Amino acid sequence: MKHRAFERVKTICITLLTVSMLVLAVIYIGGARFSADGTAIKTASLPEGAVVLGEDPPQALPIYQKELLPVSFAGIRYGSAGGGAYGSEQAAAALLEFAAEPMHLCLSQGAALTAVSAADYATAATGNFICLNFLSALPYQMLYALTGEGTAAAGSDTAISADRVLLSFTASGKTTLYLSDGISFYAADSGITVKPSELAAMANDSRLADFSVTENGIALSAAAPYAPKISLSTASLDAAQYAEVLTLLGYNPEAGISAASVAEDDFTGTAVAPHGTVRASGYALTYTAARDSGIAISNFLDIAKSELDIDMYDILQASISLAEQLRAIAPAALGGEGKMFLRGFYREEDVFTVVLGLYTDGIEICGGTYPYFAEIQVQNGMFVSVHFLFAALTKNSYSGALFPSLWQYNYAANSAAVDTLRLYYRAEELPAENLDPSWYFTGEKAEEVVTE
Amino acid sequence: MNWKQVKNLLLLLLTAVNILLLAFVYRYYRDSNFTDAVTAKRAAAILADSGITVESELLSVRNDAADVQSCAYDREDYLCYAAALLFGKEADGIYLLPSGIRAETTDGKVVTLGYDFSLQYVSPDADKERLIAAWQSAKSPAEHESCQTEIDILEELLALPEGTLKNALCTHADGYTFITVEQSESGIPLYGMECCFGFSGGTLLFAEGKYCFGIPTEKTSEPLLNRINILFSEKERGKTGHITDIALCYTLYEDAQNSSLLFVPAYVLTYADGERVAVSALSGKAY
Repeated sequence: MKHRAFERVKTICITLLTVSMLVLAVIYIGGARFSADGTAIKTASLPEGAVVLGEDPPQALPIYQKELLPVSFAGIRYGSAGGGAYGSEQAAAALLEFAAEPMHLCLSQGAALTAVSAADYATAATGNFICLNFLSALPYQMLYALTGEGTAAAGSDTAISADRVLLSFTASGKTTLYLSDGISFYAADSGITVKPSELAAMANDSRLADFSVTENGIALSAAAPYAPKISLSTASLDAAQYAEVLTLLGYNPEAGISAASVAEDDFTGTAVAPHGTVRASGYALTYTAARDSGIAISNFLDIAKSELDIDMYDILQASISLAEQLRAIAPAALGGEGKMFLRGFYREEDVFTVVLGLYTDGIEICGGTYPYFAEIQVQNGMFVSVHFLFAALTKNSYSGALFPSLWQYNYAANSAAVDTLRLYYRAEELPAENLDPSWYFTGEKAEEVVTE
Repeated sequence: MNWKQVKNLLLLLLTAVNILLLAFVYRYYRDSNFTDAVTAKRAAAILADSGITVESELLSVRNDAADVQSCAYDREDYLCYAAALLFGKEADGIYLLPSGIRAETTDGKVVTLGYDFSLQYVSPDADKERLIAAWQSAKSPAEHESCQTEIDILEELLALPEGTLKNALCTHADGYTFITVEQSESGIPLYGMECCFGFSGGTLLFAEGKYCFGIPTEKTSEPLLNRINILFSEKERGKTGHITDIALCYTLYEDAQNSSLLFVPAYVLTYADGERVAVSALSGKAY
C-alpha cells in the first residue's frame, strides 16, 4: 500500500515537472515577445507636428509647395540631350520642380509680358528649353503664385491664361518664358539666367523618353503613358463629419444636426444661419450666403487681414485652406485617393471664382456628373458660394498601355487643328468602376472623343 | 529496466532540465531589465574616449519605465482656464501676447501666462518691491507645520488632492510665506516645471515660475531607451563633460494638430559644470 502511494507521488511529480518544463521553455523562448517593458530596440517618434511646449507649431506648407499645379507632361531639350515624361512619372515632377523657380521669376513684378506669334513660340521650341503642359489653363498670376513665394506678379493690360509654358534658354542660360493656351502666345522676360550645367544634368536624365513639341506647344511623346484604373464611388458625410463641417463654417453643430436626417445611408442635412445656408446631400456639400453676407475668408488665412487688404492671392490661399480643412474632416467622401489641383480662377466684376479639380497620376477626373471637385466664389472678402462634389476615388491595378500622345495627335490632326490634347478619366455617372483614362482633344471642330 | 527505474530516471532528468530552464529564465529577465556592470563599464570607457565621463554605477541600473501620457490641450483655452483658477473666477479681460496671454480682473489683478507655462503674478494689494526682495532672500527651508495653512490654500487653489504638496519646499521671509512646487506626474518630475507661490495672511500675493495645470487622462506604453543609449546620443551630438547625475523626468510637448499636451519620458543629464540637459527617452533627441 505504502509502496503504491509512493509510486503515485512519483507519477504526479513527473507530470508536474513536465508541465513546468514546458511552461519554462515557452517563457524562455518567447521571452523577447513577452518582456514588453525591456529597453527600446528602435527609437520612437512623437506625432507629426508635435513641438516642445511654448514653441510655435510648424507652419503649414506654403501654397506653391502643395502640388496644386500638376503637369500632364514635362520635357527638356538641351543641345542634343533631352526627353520628356508624362505627369505620373517622377522625372516630370523633377522637371517641374527645377523649372518652377525660373518660371516664377519670369512672371514676377518688373518682368515684361509681351504678345508674340505662334512662330516665335515654335522657334523657341527648336533650341534649349523646358516645356510643361498643365492640366488646365490658368491666369499667369496663378502660375506665378503656384511656383514660388511672393505677392506681386508682373503687370499686364491683357488677361493672359496658359495651360502650357516653355522656358527657353540661350547658350549662356538666359531665360525667356513663353506662355500659351494653344491659341494666344506671350513671352515673359525678366533677364534671369539658369546654370547651363544644371540644364545639362536635367537633360541627361535616363528616365526621359524622346518627345517633340508642336507649333502651338503641345508636347508629344512616342512612349505610351501608364495609368491605373480608378473607381469613383458615391460618398457622403456622416453625422459626426457634418457636425465638424458646420463648426468649421461657423454654425452651431447641435442645431444643424437636429435638422439632419439619414435615409437609406444617404445623409442629408440643412443648417441655416443669418449669414447663409449649408446643405449636405448624397452628392454635394453646398454653402450659399445670405444677401450681402457670407463667411469671412480671413478666418482661413494664416495672417489676419482686413477685407480691404484682401487680394487674389488671399482668395486663392483661403479657398485652398477651406478645401484642405474639409478634406481633413471627410477624406474619403471628398476625393479619397485623388489629389486636388487648381483648375481655374476667374473674376467677373467683384466676384472671384476658384475652381478646384481632382487628379491622380497627372490625369484629371471629370465628366458629366463630376465637372469639378469644388467651386468656390468669393465676394467682398467673403465666401458667398461653396460647392464641393462628393466622390471617393480609389486606384486599382495598372491598366494596359495606352496609345502614345504622338499617335493620338496624328490621328486627331487628320480631322481638326488641335489646340489641346489630354488624358482624362471621364465619369459619366457615379459610381464608376474600373475607369481607364482616354485621350481627348479640342480644336477647331467641337470637342470630340478620340478612341483609346 | 522496469517501469520504476524509468520513472526515477525521468524524475532526475526532468528535475535537471527544470533547474536549467529556471536558471536561463532568471538570467534572461535579469539581463533584459538591468544593465549589467560589465556592459556599463564598457559603455563608460567608450564614452570617455569621446569626452563624456560618467561613473559606471550610474549606468548599471534597472531600466526605467514610464508611459507617454497626454491630455486635451488648446493654447488659448488652457491659459484662460489657468487664469480663472488663479483668480478664482473668470478673467474680465484677456490680451493676447506674442508668447502667451495677459489676464486681468476689474479689481486690478493681473497675471501673465506663457505658452511655455510660465506664470507671473503679483497681487495689486502687495508691496511688490518688498515682496520680491523677501522672495529672493528666502532660502532656508521652514518646518511644514509652519506653512500648513498656505499649503492647504494652495492645494485648493490649484485643484490638487489633499496632501499632494506635502513635500513642497516652504520658506519664510519678512512676514511672507513662500511655497515652491516642483511638479511631478506619476512620481516622475516634470522637467522645468517649478513655481514659487508667495502668501501673506493666507492670501496669495505672488507666483513666479512654470506650472502645468494639465492633468493627463490617457496613457500609452512605449519602450524607453536606456541610459547608455541616451549618453551615446549625447556623444553623437558632440557633447563633452563629466555627467554627475541621470534621472528620469517628463518633458512636455504640444501637439496642436490633435489638440493635445504630451507628457513624454526623458532623462535629465546633469553635467559637472551645472548644465542640465533633457534628452527624450523615446528618440534620444535633446529637448
